[in-house]
Amino acid sequence: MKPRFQQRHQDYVLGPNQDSRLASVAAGQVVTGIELQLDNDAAFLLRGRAYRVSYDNLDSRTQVGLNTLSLRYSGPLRDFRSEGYIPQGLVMPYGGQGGAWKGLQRGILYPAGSIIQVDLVNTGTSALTNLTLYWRGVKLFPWGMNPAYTYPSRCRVLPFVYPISPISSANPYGTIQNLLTAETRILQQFVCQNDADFVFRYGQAGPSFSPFPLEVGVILRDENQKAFSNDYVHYETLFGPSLGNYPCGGSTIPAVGTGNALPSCMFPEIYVPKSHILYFDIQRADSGYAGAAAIPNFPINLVGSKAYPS
Amino acid sequence: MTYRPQYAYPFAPLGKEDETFHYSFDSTTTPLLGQAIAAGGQSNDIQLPTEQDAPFFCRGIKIQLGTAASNLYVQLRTPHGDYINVPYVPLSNWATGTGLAPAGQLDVPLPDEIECPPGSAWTLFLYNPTLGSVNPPAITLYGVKQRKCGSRRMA
Repeated sequence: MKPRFQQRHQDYVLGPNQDSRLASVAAGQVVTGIELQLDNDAAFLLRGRAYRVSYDNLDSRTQVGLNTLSLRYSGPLRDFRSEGYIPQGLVMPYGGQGGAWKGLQRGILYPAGSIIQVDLVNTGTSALTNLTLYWRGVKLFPWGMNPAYTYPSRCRVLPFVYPISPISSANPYGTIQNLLTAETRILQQFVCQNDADFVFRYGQAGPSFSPFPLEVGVILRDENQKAFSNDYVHYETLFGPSLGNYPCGGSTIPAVGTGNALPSCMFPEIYVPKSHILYFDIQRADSGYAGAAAIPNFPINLVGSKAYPS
Repeated sequence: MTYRPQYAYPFAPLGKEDETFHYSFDSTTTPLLGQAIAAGGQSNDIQLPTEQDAPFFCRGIKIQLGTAASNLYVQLRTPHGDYINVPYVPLSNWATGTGLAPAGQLDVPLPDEIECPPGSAWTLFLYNPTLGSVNPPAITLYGVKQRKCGSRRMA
């Protein structure tokens, strides 16, 4: 049965670009009345949450204070969904990053143009730098508003992994080449091969060896350049894996249980017909970190399946 | 908790039965996987053969270097000649298991199973993008063998 609405993957970002108070939340500080204005083009069904702060430095790659955030957030009627401030470290591991999203069992439906209100407190002893909250779900469009590409009526599918950039003699592995410490590239293209459609289900990104990135964000766009998010989503939240360290008691630990087997899946999948394209913007803001260097090859794997008509 | 929806695989056809099986390839079974790959070098056309007694349906994969994620790039060709990634892609961003290796790791499920006829072979291609030599990883293919009902010899 055809669903009533066409669902389209959407990530909303609420960070310093949306409310400058989130650039630094001092120890013990309470910040109230933070508002995320949702888009007016469609209703939004919230299905998962995550959050992060900036890494401290290249050596420890730790998100300091991540486990000391408590917050409450509202539904569409400014109805808060918890009685008080809830320690987020008790709700989700690793701030929900790397595919560890805090899922909502039934979701919360926000009409078009709604506002999500957030009140929060930093209960720790160190400031939260560039605190960013992520809201993952789907936009609900009337059918016909967006392309509705889907599988052929009869098809054969093959698991497949694409690099995000076109392959050429100058870029034989399809990586994002020579990503500088402070750089923004917009409307980069992913081109689907011409032999089969591609069903994009999740991505995995970032180099596994030095030089490492810290603050890199990506905006995915469809072939009409319509974005799947309202701002840059950190690559470890949008894709994964999560290679940094997380505060735990008086120490830190790496993420255990995120990565290729449990990636940050998108729902619904993004269906790219053969020879069609996706756009993406990428932004790196690491110039403030000592020792940051240009990354010769920043890989992003797009993982899913090819669909061959049969 | 992290969550990934499980994929639905078809039942074995009438008269056949599935038997859980996995293939593992490392330096003890595949000599080429025991030779370090020089900086910037490649090791190509490494054959990973399957057994001849029954078709194998691959439903998951894990490629791991000892207890650490490998920095190699990888390309795999199925027994039918289809490449499942083009070109080489970073191993750590695709097929390295989830979890801590000493405590066991989850394999990476394939959304669609890949049929391997009896006696067929996968082909592995490796590329080392780093500035030092890197040892090849071990490859494990998870899935089922599909046998005729009653063909399994009882002990």
